[in-house]
Amino acid sequence: MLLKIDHSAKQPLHEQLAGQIRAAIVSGELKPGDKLPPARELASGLDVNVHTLLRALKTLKEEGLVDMRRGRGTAVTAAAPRVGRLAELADELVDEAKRSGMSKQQVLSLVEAKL
Amino acid sequence: MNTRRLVLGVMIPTGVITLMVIPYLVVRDRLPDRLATHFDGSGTPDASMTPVGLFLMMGLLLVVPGLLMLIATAVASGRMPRPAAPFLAGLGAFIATLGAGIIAETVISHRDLSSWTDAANPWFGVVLVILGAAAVGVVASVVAKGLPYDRMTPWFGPNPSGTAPRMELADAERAVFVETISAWWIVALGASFIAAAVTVAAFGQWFLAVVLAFSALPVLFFGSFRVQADRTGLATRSAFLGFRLVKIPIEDIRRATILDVEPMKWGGWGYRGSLKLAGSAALVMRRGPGMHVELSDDRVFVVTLDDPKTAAAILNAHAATPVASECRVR
Repeated sequence: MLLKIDHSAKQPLHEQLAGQIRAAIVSGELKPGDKLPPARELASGLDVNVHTLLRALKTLKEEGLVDMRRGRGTAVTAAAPRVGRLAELADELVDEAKRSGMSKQQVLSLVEAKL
Repeated sequence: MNTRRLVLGVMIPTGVITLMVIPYLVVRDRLPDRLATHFDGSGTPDASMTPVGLFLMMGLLLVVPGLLMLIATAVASGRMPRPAAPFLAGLGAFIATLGAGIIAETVISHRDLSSWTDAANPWFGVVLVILGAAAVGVVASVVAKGLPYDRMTPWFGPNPSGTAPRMELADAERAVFVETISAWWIVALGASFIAAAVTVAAFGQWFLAVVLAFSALPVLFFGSFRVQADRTGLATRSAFLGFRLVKIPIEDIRRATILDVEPMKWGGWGYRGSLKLAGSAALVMRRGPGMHVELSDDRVFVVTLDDPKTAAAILNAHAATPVASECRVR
């Protein structure tokens, strides 16, 4: 798994980190059940604060991509490959909506209409 | 002659022999025929030896082997890998002093006794001897640290034909490569130990269960590793137990190349060789693609990876000697 971030980019580091890990899940590099390396080791290699990385992991947890258990580390969930692609698409949707100046309500009703 | 060699090869051995012989010569005429050499739990002597027997036993078991180790270190440290001399000198000085000290303690504590059965429990003297021997061992070890040592020729050679990919990273960019490499058969072996431990525990065989569980630890340690390459260097840790196996700081890395690992060429499966002792090591979990890391002092580390290209590209991007500069024409 390759994680690459840019400290000079506009996008916040925790978003870049979450995006990179999500991409590794979607591409199949990280499979369900795989454990992520300890946050401390990853953070030092990427030159980021551990809390920044934990924030990214929290996002992924809320998306249902990883499971975090005290003392047992962070593992990719069984549902991750499916949900991961959706989360990526949702990211794109929100980005695009922001660019075109849509309100939160407009985006929500757009999605709702499609369901 | 080097002072350190003099201390290890002459001074400490002379001291050990003095400790062994002088007390005996002094109290020889005041000793009983036999000396107590073993004590039961309550401190009553229950076995004895003649002085000659004691000298022979301690001499052959401890003093002579210890002195040989010391003298060999003093003479041949230049042909030993770096950590060998302090280890050999320390251990040799410890066991030689221990043997001589036990002889001295036994002899001194028997002076003016009419029979070995009157000997007192020597625990205090024995503790003193062990502490003294440990102190001499530490001194010898520290002295031996400064001896010249052999810069080992690596067991495993360079990889001149391997390509060295390089990742282009901007100043503010950071990249980390992580891969977990496992040998399923080692993991299965470790898991079967754990299963056996649980089974015997269910039958109340606690001692056996603990032994089995502890035997599983080294097996699991070598079953699966997490390899991480980043701007700080290359690290391999046991995926199950977390211990670090190898850490190569980026400053020590000259270049990383790709190769096809043929296990028998690299000493077989598992962790082969040693970066410290043999100047080269290989972590081989299977046949196939791997990364060859060349250190700035010509040492070599090889590890099997599914994606050696990315790992090598990151290391080369941060390596002390940029790969491109090797090709620069002057």
